[in-house]
Amino acid sequence: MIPAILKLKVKEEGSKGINLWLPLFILWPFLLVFYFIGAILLLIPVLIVPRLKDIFILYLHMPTLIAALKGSEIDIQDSDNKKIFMAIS
Amino acid sequence: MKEERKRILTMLESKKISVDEAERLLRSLNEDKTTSQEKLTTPKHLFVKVNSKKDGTGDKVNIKLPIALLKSGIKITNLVSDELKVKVNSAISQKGMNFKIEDLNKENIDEFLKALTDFSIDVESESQEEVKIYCQ
Repeated sequence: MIPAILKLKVKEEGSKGINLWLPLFILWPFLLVFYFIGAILLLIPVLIVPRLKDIFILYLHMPTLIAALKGSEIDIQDSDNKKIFMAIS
Repeated sequence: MKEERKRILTMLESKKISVDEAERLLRSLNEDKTTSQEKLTTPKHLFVKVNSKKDGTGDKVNIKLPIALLKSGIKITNLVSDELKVKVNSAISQKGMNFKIEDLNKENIDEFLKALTDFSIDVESESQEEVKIYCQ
């Protein structure tokens, strides 16, 4: 399944902080269009220079990597209690 | 497992145990095998934890990455050209590791990921910095 939501929390000690829920599922249809355009544009140099094939393969598998990102979490906290939390779900 | 099986059959041959007993023992042996295989499941996440101070007062970074990401990465490396694989292999060997990227293929990827269950790196510096990498 493709990640649907990106949670972002930024908090400083004493403040309420920011709590964002970014709906990634809205972005995917637009990105899919750009992805296909990009694939066609990338195909032209690959046909001219076959050595670029690896870049094209990586590009084609980018959606797989993005889908695999679901469940990732990054939590950073410094000594002054400033916190940044990011989760892809 | 093979040895135990052989021993049961030898006992049956020498008539130390009956056919029913041998059957029961072989069945329990198979059950043990299944449960030990079930225990070794693929971990779901890779965790990286960095603490600048051991007592927890310093900077902290916690990263949780899905194993699926690692799996996808491995699958993609199998698709790249041989020329690139040679470059990657030479870079790995320069770091002193006797490992080839082709060794991680579709057939043994699950075995490799299951082995990660026991994987854990725990580094602690003199300045009390702590790094932990493990799978769960």
